[in-house]
Amino acid sequence: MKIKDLKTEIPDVFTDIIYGKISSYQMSELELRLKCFEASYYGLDSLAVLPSYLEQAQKIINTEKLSLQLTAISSYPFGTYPPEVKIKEIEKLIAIGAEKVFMVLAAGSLRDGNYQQISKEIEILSEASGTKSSTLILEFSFFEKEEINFIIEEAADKGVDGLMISTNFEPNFEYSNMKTPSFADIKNLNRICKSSLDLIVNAKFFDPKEIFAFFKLGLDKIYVEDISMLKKLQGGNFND
Amino acid sequence: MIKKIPFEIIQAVRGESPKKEAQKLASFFHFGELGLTSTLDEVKINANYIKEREYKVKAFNVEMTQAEQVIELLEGFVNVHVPVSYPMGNMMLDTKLKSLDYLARLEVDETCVCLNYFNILSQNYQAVEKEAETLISNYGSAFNPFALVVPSALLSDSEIIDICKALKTAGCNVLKLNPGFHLNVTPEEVALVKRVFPDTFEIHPSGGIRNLSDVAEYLKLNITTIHSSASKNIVENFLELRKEEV
Repeated sequence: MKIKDLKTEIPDVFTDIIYGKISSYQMSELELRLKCFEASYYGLDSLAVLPSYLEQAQKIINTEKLSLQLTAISSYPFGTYPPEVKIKEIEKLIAIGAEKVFMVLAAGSLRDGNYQQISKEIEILSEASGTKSSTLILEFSFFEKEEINFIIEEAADKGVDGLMISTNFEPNFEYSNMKTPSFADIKNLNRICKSSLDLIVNAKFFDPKEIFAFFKLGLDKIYVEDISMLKKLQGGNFND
Repeated sequence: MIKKIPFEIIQAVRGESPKKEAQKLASFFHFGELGLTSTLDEVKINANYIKEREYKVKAFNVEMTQAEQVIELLEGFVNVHVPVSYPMGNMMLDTKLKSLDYLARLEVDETCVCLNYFNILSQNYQAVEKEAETLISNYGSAFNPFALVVPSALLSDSEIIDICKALKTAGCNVLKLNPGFHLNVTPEEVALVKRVFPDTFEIHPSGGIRNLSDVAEYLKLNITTIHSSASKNIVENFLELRKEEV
């Protein structure tokens, strides 16, 4: 199947893309400005930013009168903030203007079997986000099926809106077994989440075919850090 | 693993037995594992490791969520060190202050706070100075040492100097160069700061210090505090080589 046919089949692909550069250390004011303009121009779902960029991103949107929502990423990349700090951060992110809040779950606590702590964290995300959309970030490749099922059930029960798979914080790869989800993983997760949570994948997609293939599985959104392939698609000169 | 112990290390740790020398070498390091999936069980194993060998390390590093249990576990054996806004410097100032308040209440001994890298990479030195000043004036005396983290691997020499000027004005006296996690320090960066700002900052290098040769490079620069996730391997390598020699 040709890419242009796939795009016809899934016409809303741009509005389901979350764009950002959260896994990199390097983001200057100039680059943030560029990303705000790109995300707005292509009508993407939102621009994901780390807390320290949020105020400036909001300023750019207001000054330039851009049509763009901001997704703020809390407790990134390790999720190891204590509850009171997580609450403080989320409340502040919303006060500054985040429309959506994503929060990294303390994966270490789950590996310790501290389910009570995990429940508490999920509750914090849901309550502190208030009426804003809330999504949990989980480094799923470390966990057993039962643990993932527990998180999905808890999140749905406590009113969380979505589940994002993997922080994709690159430097950590050297020290861990972190890996991106496979096609089969996503298919299975999507089946479990479908009725209760939006499923968002954070993976390295550089090939539009791959993006379309994931959307065809029924994924709700995809987070990407490179939209060059989408630009080509938009321009109508993509060569497959 | 290197095959021969560098002269600078022998000179720095010379003692009555390989065991004593290994203890002395360990005293230069921060021990412990940080990261997304670090569990309390893993932390306990590391804590027991240093206690059993009587390694009075410079400090034991843990994530914020584990600080309370580790303080109980170590019972003052060595300093507990908890980094803030680590490793990406992406916390807002309010959240950093809240984190420091939490750590101060737990009576954590020492900390390092990653400065706002966005300000640094945007060359907004006024904002860097203001952030550092706020952090130091509020919590500088609650922790000893209270280090600020600069991602020098991302900066040119002149940018490093400009940042250090701002931090000196803000009252900073302990500087951690790089957080680690692929932002690796070089001896040249440390030498640059020492040369341009003599007797201003105590410098704690971090990132990419993987073996005894790397350590020797920093000892040559009179560095006495080293962050390395390979610290355990480095000390064990030293002990093996030393036992072979003796």
